[in-house]
This record gives sequence, structure tokens and C-alpha cells, in this order.
Amino acid sequence: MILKVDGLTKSFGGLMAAAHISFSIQEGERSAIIGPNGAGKTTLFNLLTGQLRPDEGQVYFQGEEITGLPPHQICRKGISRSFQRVNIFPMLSVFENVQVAVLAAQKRTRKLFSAARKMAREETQIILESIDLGGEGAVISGTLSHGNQKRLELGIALAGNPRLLLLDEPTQGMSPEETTKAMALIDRVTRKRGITLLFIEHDIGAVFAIADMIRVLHMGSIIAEGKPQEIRENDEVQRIYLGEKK
Amino acid sequence: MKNLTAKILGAGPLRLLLAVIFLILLPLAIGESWVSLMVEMMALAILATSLNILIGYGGMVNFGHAAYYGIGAYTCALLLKKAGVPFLLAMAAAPIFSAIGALIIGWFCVRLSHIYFAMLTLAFGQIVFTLTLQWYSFTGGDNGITEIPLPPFLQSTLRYYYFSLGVLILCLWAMKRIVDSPFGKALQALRDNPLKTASIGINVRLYSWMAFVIAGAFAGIGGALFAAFNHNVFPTFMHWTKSTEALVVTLLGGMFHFYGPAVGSVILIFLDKLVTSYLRYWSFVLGLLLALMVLFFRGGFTGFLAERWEAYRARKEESS
Repeated sequence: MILKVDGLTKSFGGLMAAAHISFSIQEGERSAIIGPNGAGKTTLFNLLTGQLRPDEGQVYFQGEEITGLPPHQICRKGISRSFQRVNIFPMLSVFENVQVAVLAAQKRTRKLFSAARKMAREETQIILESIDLGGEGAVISGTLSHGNQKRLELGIALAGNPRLLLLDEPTQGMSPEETTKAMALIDRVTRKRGITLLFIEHDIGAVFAIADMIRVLHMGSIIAEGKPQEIRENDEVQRIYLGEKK
Repeated sequence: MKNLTAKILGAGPLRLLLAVIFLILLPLAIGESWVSLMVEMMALAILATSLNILIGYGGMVNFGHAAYYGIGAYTCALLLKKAGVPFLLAMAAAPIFSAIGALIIGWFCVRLSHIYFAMLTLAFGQIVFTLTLQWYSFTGGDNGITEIPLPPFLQSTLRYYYFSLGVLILCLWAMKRIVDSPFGKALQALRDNPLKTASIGINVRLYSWMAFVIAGAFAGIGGALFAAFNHNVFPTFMHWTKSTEALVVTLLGGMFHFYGPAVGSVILIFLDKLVTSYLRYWSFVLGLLLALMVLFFRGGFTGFLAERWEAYRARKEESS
């Protein structure tokens, strides 16, 4: 078990954004969290990676409690995440975006007097190639297309050499064709590096394409959990999320 | 021949060497009043470049940076005048005391961001200014500290000029190393996206704090350099208007180029001298210039030059 969440609760004013959420994730699992807007999906991610502190409940990562730790410490334990809106370092080059994350992971960013441009070049290039941006290193990242920026964000997350990768809507704003490509890329790189994957996604096609476990979040609670086939057949999920087709 | 010139101008280290040789020879060709003006430019360049570590590289706008410049100036002045400490030791002590000041004040400031950060730096800057102004027995209040003794080997303007040039080169070299280091890269990441920086495992507050202290220390060197040259220090050295002067220079020269603030310092002091000898409305001219810069040339003077240079190269590549 790589991640265990126990009774996680968070409310904003009167609104329960997370209501006693409990689940656990096995090593190597690729699971999705789905749910309607406002279900509390991003809040759950923020609780897991330290952007928010839970009111109640605990989070254990590889058997160690990480509840309420600040984001930079949780990252160092081996959890990387991407954000829903594109989140890169727009004025840095593509290469520097990944390089700074590699250097941070290697705890070398406190070096004050050595030349960064000679450091971690190989590691950075390997990551850039794995996300198909090997030739774009010198481009200022803010000028990349939306799809490539999303890809770069994946690269930044990989630079931390994570055991668990949390992706918040990795295909947000993409065309159906781009979505298929992006999900294939995510599937490929996480498999190759043996990274456990947890992602939030609205595109149901993308979810069923690569997830082997799905959890449905509704009003801050997990209302269903299971294999894609089970979720597809779950009546409650059909009613509140997938739409009343029958 | 044309190719060779382009080659020499294109190479970074060679270009810098040429600039240094130019600065070594220049005072031999101009009058003493201009040489002393250049010392002022160099002190301001150190202050503004240190400020730019925070603004251009770290994305933190500091309105109280003159406080550390002032602490450096007073440290040097007090040690020379009241304690009779050797000159070089007094110079070396300035950045240490400025760093201590920045360490304490920065600890509070980096807890906030954006406008709140800026306001807090301004508030602390004015506290330091007021303390200096009121503490007559120690700082001399608004009389300042006058007749600061200089060692014999620095008593001519030309000698002090060369000493300043050495200090300037050393400071710029050190600061360049810092902004090009992994720490510098982390700082730029922080400027672009603090939230993301935390999520790649960087302690945002700690790094902002480190940058604050480093910038403060270098500002102190600038202050000490000017204090000794000026023979006098006054509380106005730490007033917020001095902070905005450094800010203006940074914008004028360009905050996205390492040498931008230094170039801005030269422009500001040169124009000040030029305009005030013909016109009474220096602040009007400065205001107009700043407005034009911010409206049309966001990258400042160096940004404008870099843009022209790129355009020129693109045209040349097209034609060949």
C-alpha cells in the first residue's frame, strides 16, 4: 500500500468539501477520481499534497504519516503533482523548467556559486525526450502551445522522481485527438518508471482508457469505488454522474 | 574585418573585458568632476543590481532596500570615525551588518507576498530611517556623521575611482555567479510561479529570505563605498526616496537583464547632471522618461537594445 487516507475532512464555512474520505492505493495502481463539478476532487488533492490542512483525518504515504506537512516536504517524500490550470515557469526556457525541478529533487538548489547551466543536463534531457519535448529545450516555455505546456508540466512532475504522481485534469482544454495522445503519453511514462498514478479527469473516455481503479466523488464523499466495469454498471453513479441514460 | 568585429562583440567574456579596459582608461580622458560622478554611478549600480536580485530574479518588489544601503554606509562611517578601524576592515564589516539587518527584517517580510510584502519592506525601511534620525548620541541624527577619514592611499578622486571599480567588478561578478547558480534558477522559478515552486520541493519562504539577505548585504557594500567617498553620511541615505531611486534605475536600465540596473544607474546620474545644468525641471524630465519606458519599453534600456540586436541578427540571417 503506497497511500492510505483515513477519514479526511475539510470544510469551508458550512460547506463540506471533504467528508470523512477514506481509501487506499496499492503500489503500481493507476486510478482515477471522477465526479461532477464541485465534488471536492481538487480539494482532495490539495489535502494530499499540503496546499490545504485537513480539519480531521490522516494521510499516510509509504507507511509514514504526512498529514499537514507543507507542500515542499511532501514533494520530497516522493509525491509529485500537476495542477488543473497550466502551471509552469513561463519566463524560463523549457529546459530550465525541468532542470530546476531536477536540481530541487537532488537538493542542489542551495548551491550559490556554481554554474547551474552545466548541472543535471543529462537527467533533464532524458525527461524532455520522454515527454517528446527533446528538441524544444531552448524555447521560452510561456510561448509553447497549451498541449505542450501540459506536457511540460508532466515533465516537471517527473523530475522529482516521484513514487506517486497526482495529475489534476491532465487533458483539460485539449481536443479529443490531443486527449488520446496525452493519455497515451502519461500511461507510457508512468509505466516505464513504475510510478503509481492518481488522476482527476472529466473525459470519461480518457478515464476508461487507462485507469484500472475508479473512485467517484460526490459532495465530498466517495460514493463508489471499483474496477471500470463495476463503475460503469453502478446505478447510483449512472444517476448522479454519467447521466440518466437508461 | 567586419566579421572579426562581430565575433569580438558577440563573445560575452571578451565584451566584458573590453568594457573593463574602457572603464580603466576613461578617467584619464575626462575631468575630475566627471570621475567623481562615475564613482556615484558605481555605488548606485551596486545598490540597484542587488535590488534587482529581488525584483527581476525573485519577483519581490522591495520599497525599503535603501535601509541596507544606509546600514552599510553608517557601519563604515562609524567604524572609521569613532572606532578608528582600518579602512578595508570597515568596508568588509558593512555587508555583514547590512546582512544582519536584512536577516531580521526579512524574516518578517517573506511571510507576505505582493503588495503586502512591498508595504512591509517600506514600513521597516522607514523604521530604520527614523531610528537613525532620532538616535543623536550614536548616529548624529540629522547632522549625520561628517568628516569621515580616508586612508592616504585613497585620498585622490582617481585612486578612489579605481578602488570603486575593483569593488564594483567584484560585486557584479559575485552577484552574477549567484543568479546563474542553482539557487538563482530556483529564485527565478519562484518569481514565475511560487505555488509550483513549492510543489517541486523548494522551501519558498526560506529561499525568499536567503535572497533578501544576499541583496541586503550587497546593498551595504554600495552604501559603504559611497559613504567613504562622500566623507559624510546622512539619514537620507536610508529614506524611502533612495529606495525608489534604485527602483527607478532598475526599471530604466531593464530588470530582465543582469546589467540592466547598472546601465540604468549610468543613465540616471548622467542625465541628472546634464539636465540640471540646463533646466530646473529634472523630476519632470525623469517622470516623462519613466512613463515612456513603462509604456513602450517594458524591458528598459537593455531590453530595448536586446530587441534591436535580435532584429538585426534575424535580418542578417535572412539576407545571407
